[in-house]
Amino acid sequence: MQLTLLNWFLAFFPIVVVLVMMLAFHWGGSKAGALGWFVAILLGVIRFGAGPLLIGYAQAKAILLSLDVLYIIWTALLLFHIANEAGAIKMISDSLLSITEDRTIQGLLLGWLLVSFLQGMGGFGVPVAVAAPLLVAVGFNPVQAVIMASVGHGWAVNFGSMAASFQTLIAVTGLPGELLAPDAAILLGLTGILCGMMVAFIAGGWKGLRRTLPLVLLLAVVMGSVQYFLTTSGIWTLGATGGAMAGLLVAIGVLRLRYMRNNHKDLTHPLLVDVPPAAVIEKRSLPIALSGYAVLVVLAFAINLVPPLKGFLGQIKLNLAFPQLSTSLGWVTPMENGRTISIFSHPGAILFYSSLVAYAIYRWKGYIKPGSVKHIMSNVSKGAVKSSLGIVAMVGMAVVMSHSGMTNLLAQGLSQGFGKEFYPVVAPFIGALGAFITGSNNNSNVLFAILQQNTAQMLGLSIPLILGAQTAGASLGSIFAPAKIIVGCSTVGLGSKEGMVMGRILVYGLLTIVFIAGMTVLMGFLQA
Amino acid sequence: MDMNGEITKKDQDDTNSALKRFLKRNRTAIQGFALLLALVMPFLLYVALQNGDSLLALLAFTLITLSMLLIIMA
Repeated sequence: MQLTLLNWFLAFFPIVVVLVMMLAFHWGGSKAGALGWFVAILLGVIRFGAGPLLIGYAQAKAILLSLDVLYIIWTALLLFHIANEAGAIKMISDSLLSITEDRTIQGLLLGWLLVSFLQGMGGFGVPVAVAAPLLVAVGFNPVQAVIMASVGHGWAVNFGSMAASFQTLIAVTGLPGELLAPDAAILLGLTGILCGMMVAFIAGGWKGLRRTLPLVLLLAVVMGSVQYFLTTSGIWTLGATGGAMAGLLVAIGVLRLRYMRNNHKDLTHPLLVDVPPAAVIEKRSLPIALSGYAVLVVLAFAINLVPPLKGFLGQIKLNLAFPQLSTSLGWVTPMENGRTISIFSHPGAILFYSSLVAYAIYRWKGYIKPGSVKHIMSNVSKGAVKSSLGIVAMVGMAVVMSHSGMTNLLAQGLSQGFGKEFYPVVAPFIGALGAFITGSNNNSNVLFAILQQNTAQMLGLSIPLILGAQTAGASLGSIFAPAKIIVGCSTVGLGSKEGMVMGRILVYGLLTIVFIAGMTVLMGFLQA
Repeated sequence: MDMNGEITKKDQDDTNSALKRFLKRNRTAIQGFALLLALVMPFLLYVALQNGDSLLALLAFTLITLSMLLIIMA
């Protein structure tokens, strides 16, 4: 397919349709995604030479990618609603309120640190799905909550989810992780400062940001350094988790010291200072309340880091083989196996095990009433059906676009339009575009990493730096992907306001991509 | 319908509003059905394509298309 302005615009058109319907007509993500799916198929067949076989197999590939995400969404919502039914979410929010009365710091604790930690463990929309309702519970409005949770975890996506996206980058480029990790870790670590500042700004305005800036800088340096150390030491699977965990510990230590200095008294149990009387009367324990998430952490580490356990649970896999597919215009998608879903060791399975254990613990301790299963399941399906529809439609659209050569044409247009001097500026935007279309840092790396690698080679640029910009751009680009926004909105009752939320997240998200572009140029100069 | 048996604008409006009422009343069920179709039919489509069964493939793809239409309408 020849790259012309018309072809480039037509390749971009399905995305334009989704954006216009969501932003201008305030359609929900599922409806806009479904319309985008129709437009992508029509353009794919009429203009880009996609045949029925290609369209058909694309649907099967898309459903595997969708199931990979939906497995996590459904089970994350299950764990959340079990914890919520047990009163655990209320207790966690009350406890965080008791650490500090500073609203901006509360926002930072939940919307930056906790959400980054959750991204390290789960990802795929789980952090926003869990943290946004918590932020609402401590008094932020739902729109603020979704924006803070989305922006706050952007820096942690690439090395989060057990570094799935980074592993993909290694796999598709064939380059060693040790070579790719430093530049990506520096770019994401620096962006972490901006994410923290943005969350502080959303939570407390300019005044809040000014007041908490030293704390934000300290925590960003701690998290970025720990992530850099872990990833450059070869332990990239724990990069975001370790960084965020260190950030949480330092934050609690600093806030505890500050509280003691201000109040001149020892806080042996700082988390119980402001717990409401009702909770005290019921004598509910915070460790028990947190047990659901503690089980999740333990199981995630155990299943990912104990090879025999991982091997045992990873025996049954859902996988389909796909033939080579080509358009009549010559765009070829090689023969490949689709997304492999390991039924019993998938992050969704880990969330499901955690949900079962959490339910058993809460039920045993009397935190959950006997007839509550129906109520929990009803809440889960209420939150999950609409977001599932949106994801199925959006991923279907993305796969049709990539298989008919539209996505590649988009990236080619962007890269050929800019020379060696400007390409480092464009690289993170290509990564972000891939994440926006597919809803995932991982899929963006699948789509664009080789293109970025080849372009960097042709232009004589540093390949690890350009690939670092690709994956960092995709990491931050994923925060304003419709698929993720749908999940966030569904958990705080903003099901019909996704377009408005998306418009606001886009502003913050694009600022972070501009920042990454600037840092990429600067690092290019320093490395030259 | 008017005296000549043709469908008037009022008839169309009545039909549209009846359809809207039906969609509103049954939104949850329709969304659930659309999701079921969207999740199951691609596997049927894959099996049909692997076996070269064009009719079954066409049926499966039509049902996927129906699920997308239902998503837009519901």
